[in-house]
Formats: sequence, C-alpha cells, structure tokens
Amino acid sequence: MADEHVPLPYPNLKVAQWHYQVTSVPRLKDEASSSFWKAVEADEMAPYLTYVESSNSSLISSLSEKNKAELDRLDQKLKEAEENQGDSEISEFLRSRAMYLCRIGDKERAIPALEKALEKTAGLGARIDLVLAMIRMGLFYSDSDLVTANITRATDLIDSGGDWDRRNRLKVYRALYHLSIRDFKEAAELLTDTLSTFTATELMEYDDFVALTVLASGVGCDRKGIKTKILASSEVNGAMATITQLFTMTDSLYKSNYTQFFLALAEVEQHYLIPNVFLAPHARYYVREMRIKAYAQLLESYQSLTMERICRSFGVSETFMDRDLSRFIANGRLNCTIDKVSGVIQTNKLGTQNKTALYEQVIKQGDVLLSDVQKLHRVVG
Amino acid sequence: MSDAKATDSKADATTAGSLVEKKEEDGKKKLPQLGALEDDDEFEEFPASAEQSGNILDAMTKKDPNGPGDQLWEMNWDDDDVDDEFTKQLRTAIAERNGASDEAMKE
Repeated sequence: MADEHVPLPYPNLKVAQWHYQVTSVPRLKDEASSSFWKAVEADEMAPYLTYVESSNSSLISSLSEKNKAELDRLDQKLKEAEENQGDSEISEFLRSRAMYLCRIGDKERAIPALEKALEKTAGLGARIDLVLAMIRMGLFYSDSDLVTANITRATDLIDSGGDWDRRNRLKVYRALYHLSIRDFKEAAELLTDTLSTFTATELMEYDDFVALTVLASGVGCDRKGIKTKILASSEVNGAMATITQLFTMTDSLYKSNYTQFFLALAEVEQHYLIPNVFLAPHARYYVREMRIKAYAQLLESYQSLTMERICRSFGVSETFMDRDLSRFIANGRLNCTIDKVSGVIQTNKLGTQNKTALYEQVIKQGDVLLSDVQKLHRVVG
Repeated sequence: MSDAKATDSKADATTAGSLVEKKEEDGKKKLPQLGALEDDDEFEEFPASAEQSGNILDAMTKKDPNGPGDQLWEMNWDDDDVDDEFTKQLRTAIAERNGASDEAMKE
C-alpha cells in the first residue's frame, strides 16, 4: 500500500511535457521521444496513448491487457472487502483502484473512481490527497475547469482543518495553475511562500520547483521582491548549479548588466519557456515583459541618453533597439521619446502634470515626517 | 384614478413595445436591402469561416483545443505579432551590431 504521506506521481506530468516536446519542439524531439516511451511503458498508459491517437497499436494492446489484469485484480479485492471487511479496507481498495486509473491516464474512468473513493474515505488527509489527484489529472489533460473546481474543493477541505504539509502542497498546485493562465504575480507569491517547505514531489521535482519560482518572480515580483525572496534565498542559492541561466538572468538584471541579461533571457526562453507545455503559450509575453522591465530600469536613471549608449549597454544594434523601443512606447509601456535625428532618447518622467503631483506628494510626506519627528522629540527629549 | 393611470401606463407600454417591434422589423427589412446593395460575399464570409475573415483573434480562440473558446488569460494584442523567437532576434541584433562596429573600425 502506498504511504499516504508520500503521494506518487500519478499521472506523471512529465509524460505530458515530453509529449508536448515531441509534437512542438523539434530541437528536443528525439530526447523527449525516448523519455516519453519509457515512461508510458513503465506506467502502462494505454488509455493515454489512445487519447493522443498514437499509432503504436501493438504497444497499446499489450499495455491494455496489463491494465485489464490489474483492474480485475483490484476489483476482485474490492469485492472481497465489501463482503468480508470493513469500511476502511473498502476505501483503501477504492483509492488504489482510482490511483491506478490516474496512473494509466484514463481520465474518463479515473474521475468517477476518485469521486467514489472520496465518498467512502473518512480521513481528511486522504480526502485532500484524492482531490489533489483530481487537480493533477486536470493539469495533465489541460482541463482548466477540472483544475479550478478542485482547487476550490481542496481549499475548502484544507481550511476545515488540513495539515500544514498539505496546505503548502496545494499552494504549489495553485501556482502551477496560475502559471498556465499567465498570472505570474500570483504564481510567484505562492511559490516564494513555499520555497522553504516544498514537498510536492508528486507534482514536480525540487529543482524544477526552484526553477519555476525564479522564473515566475522575474515577471511577477518587483525589484525589491526579487532581491529579498530570490537573490537572498538560501534555497535558490543552493540550487544555483541546476538553474544557472535563470539565476544569471535574475542577477544580471538586478545588477544592471544588460548585455548579460539579454543573453541569459534568450537562454531562458529556449530552455525553460518553449519546452514547457504550461509556459510555452506565454513565452513571447514573458520575454517581452522582461525586456520592458530592463528598459524601464535603465531609463529610470536618466533624463536623456543617446541611442548609441543604450545599444552599447544591451549589446544590440540600433535597428533592433529602435524597433523594440518604438513598439513599447507605442503601447504606452515605456515613458520616453526617441529623437531619431539627434539619436537621443528622452525620458518623460517629469511631465507638467506629474510635477505638481510630485510636489504635492513631497509636501504631504514631509508633513508626515515632521509630525513624526515632533512626536519622537516629545518622547525622547 | 389609479386604474386610469394603470391602464394608461399599460397602453404606453404596449405602444412602446410595438414601437420597439416596429424598429426591429425595420432593421430586419434593412438587412436584406443592404445585402442587395453591398457585396453578398462579404456578409456571408464573416460568420462562416473564422480563418478566412482574417480576424486573428477568432482564429486563435477557435484553434485553442483546451479552452471553451475563451482564452483564460488577457488577450494581449502583442500576441498577434508573429515575431521570431527572442533568441533569433537577439542573434541578429548582436550580429548587426558587430557588423556595424566592424565597418566603423575599417573606416
């Protein structure tokens, strides 16, 4: 019997990743293909192969036989339990059956089986684990309705008295969902929260978890957040060897090494965004947002600077820079203008409207500061 | 008194209703007239095939196998940009820059 405290990776989300890479990432096709077939065989995933319309019918039939044999065995045990043993044994076999269906990727039968097991299971922890399995099935099949419904369900169950371990595990599940819908900010918050307490190995490996955390914070956190939650994190620094490009990207942006930043960003795009089935639809968005961050950061310090200077800082041609900046200025994402004739970029930080607002802000803050100093004087003096 | 008012308001409602109905009928009458005036093909193409209509948004949402047709995240018009991957762009940009600085050095 599986140890309840260490849930198994059923279904194996990596299989979904490899399948995606085989179909959509030519560069990784061969490697992904061999990993894919190995894992599919190990987990006897005949229903999944049918779902993706695989042409390997011989494998499908041999695995289907294994599926049938195992399910028959479990059904037999279930029947015996129903006749001779008590509720807890029945629920245990129901769970095993449901988890086997998850493992072979049979969504149609797994969900009802999980529901049935849920009905008959009493312990809160085990119930939560079953709902988490439903979320995994939803993530595996990109069924966002299934995912959101069960996230709500799991949250309710956990609020009614779940342990901290499961509470933290759910955070990682939620983060993965938010990443898939482009909500990097929420994902980053959830991931950085659980950095020091990660146990959701049934969802992803620890290294992948740290990688996702750093990735999400790139867009999802501001400069301060990145410094305190990522660059200063012992977990991130500990995993540096496995996430070099991500770390370089984050670090170089923080230290304003823009040339290095661009190079690292390109690497991150290739290694982390494009091959990842959840992140690939957001690759362009992510890379765009990081560029905007970098440009805005550089422009923050200047009232004006030459085009030549900014190109030198980023290590790119004027053609590229002109095109990129113009695009973001046109969208209103960057607050500056390009004077092409003199080759200068002007930042519009102090437009006339902003000036008055800034003055007022200074006066207000100054007043607050003065009254605080007065209070302090009364206490100290 | 109140009865009279009630019936008045009812009468108003019915006239208002009939006015609306009349407008709808006019609208319906208008459509076939427009169809005769304008190119029939234009009207037919639009609802029939999303890809042909050139409406990228429709094409994108219809091609999405996952969602129920609606994207689960905010559609950014930048997504429509069929840009190369940033990696490719950067490679070109760096090459262009090095090419330009080479020329400067030659001079």
